[in-house]
Amino acid sequence: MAVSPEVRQYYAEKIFAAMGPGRVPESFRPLATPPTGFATVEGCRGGGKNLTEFALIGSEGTVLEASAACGLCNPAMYVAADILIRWIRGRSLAEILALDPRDVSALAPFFEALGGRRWPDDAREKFQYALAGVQNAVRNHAGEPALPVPEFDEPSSRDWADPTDE
Amino acid sequence: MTTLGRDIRELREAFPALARLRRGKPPIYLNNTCMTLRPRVVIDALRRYYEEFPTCGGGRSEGSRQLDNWFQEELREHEVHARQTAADLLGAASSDEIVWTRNTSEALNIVAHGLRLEPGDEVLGSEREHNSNLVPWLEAERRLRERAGDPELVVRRHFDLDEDGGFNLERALAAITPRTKVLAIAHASNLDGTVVPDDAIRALAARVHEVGGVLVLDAAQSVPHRRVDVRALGVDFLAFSIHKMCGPTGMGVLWGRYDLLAELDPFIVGGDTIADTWQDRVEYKKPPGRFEAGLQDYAGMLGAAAAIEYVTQTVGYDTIAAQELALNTRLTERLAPLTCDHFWLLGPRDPAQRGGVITMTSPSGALINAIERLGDREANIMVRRGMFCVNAYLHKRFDAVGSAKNNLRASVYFYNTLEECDAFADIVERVVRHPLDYFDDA
Repeated sequence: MAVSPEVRQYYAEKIFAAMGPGRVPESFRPLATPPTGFATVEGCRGGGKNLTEFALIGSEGTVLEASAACGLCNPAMYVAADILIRWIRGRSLAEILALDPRDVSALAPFFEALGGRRWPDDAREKFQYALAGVQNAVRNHAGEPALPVPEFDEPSSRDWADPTDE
Repeated sequence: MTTLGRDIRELREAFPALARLRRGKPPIYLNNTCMTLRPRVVIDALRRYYEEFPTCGGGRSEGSRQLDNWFQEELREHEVHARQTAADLLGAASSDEIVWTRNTSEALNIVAHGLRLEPGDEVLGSEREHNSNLVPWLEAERRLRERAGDPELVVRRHFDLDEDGGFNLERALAAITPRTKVLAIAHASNLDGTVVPDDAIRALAARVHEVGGVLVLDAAQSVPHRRVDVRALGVDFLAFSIHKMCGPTGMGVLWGRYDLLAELDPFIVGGDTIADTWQDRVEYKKPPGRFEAGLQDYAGMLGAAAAIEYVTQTVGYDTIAAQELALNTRLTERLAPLTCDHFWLLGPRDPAQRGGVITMTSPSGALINAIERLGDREANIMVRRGMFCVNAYLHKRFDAVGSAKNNLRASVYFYNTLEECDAFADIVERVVRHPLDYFDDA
């Protein structure tokens, strides 16, 4: 799987550079206390178990702390998980659940967090899976059943055309 | 390609899988800790059963039927020979101490289910037991909790290893208490290859016997690589898998001291485990028959005997040890200098302490993934990634530093070569020195 320039740059600067013996990127540090919400999502399509885990600690209406974990072999999934974890911290449960992961336009804030104008397709698919996972962790926290995760379109591996240019 | 003056190429020619080509290149099989390749002599033994006497057997020590037809007589001869071959391998007092199982996991489950533990009894292991030697004891704990009506009852305890993963005898001895009824430990680690020395096993056996317990040895990673004598070690039960020593898939062995096997409750029961039944009761066979339910993998027994004879006689443990040391030394010399913030090795640095295993880890799953993918695509290299069924240890040690799940293991056996090690090390070096160039391979 080819990696888009946007994902490559974000991963290198904000995730890979923060890794080392005893150094874990902030979004991937284990929570200090047991989570109140937890969910896994398939779809990272890396070389591992194809599972990303999302854990959070919430209050009645807000996410207080959150973390992602897994083999995270896929750089795009690392990036999506990192951006999503940063986004949900301090955010209301209702706002997180209001987004539809099937609606690509709803993902605009996450694409912006990548720092570029283009919407790389590898990030699009991983954001969709990550958002579905995060939302199920929120539902778990709220005592609601998890929703089935849709099958999102696989990313095109070479074409990084900007959908806004179409 | 020589070790101890032997030509490894000659040994390699016995393995049909090594003659295969993909994209013009042979396989580089470095996943021997999981499962080894099979020589033709083992494959021929399997085929012989199906071609010559493909019938049901029953050559067990007690309660067996008189076999009086042509195929059954021939099968019985091979069954008896196979069980004796396994007994000889381990220095067992009798072939009646050999129970055929599907694998090490099944063997350890038989022991964990069969021992008559009581609430208050404890099972001790190291912090780094394979799930096969952890989960059956956690299940025993669950059952005892239910019996005792105490959901907090602690049955399974563990002791810590050295910082580098080496075995710490003092800690192990200190953890044995009068409550310890089972000490269940791995003889050699499937994660980093570290071995519990024979003297330590003997000391542990003596101590656990003093308090009335038994020592259960998970020998899945030792019997394929070195001489293991159950009586010299003083252990009570031992389990290993034939498919890790050139044998057929789905064949394993439980060895138990006969008096202890005789006291063990059967786990899976039914056909062929019984001496007789009535509508309201059953009389079981003596060991080993009571533990081998239903018709067995007779082809597997022939294959097991062929594998044991091949490994111990055709190859020999001296050759295996020398070749593994040479190969792991080369891998260590090549990979250890690559240590950096994103890549390091697990276990003791000295390859002599790691058998045929070298395990790499990284906080970046993408880096580990890139090594595996690139090695597969460019050089047909087969290694293993993940948590290697020692999840509990990796979580305990490495969750906090973010590298618990990103591990890659290369494990060699006598048929591997220095050239193969170099090919793998070349791939690792490329990725570790320029990781950001290889994201596309993740």
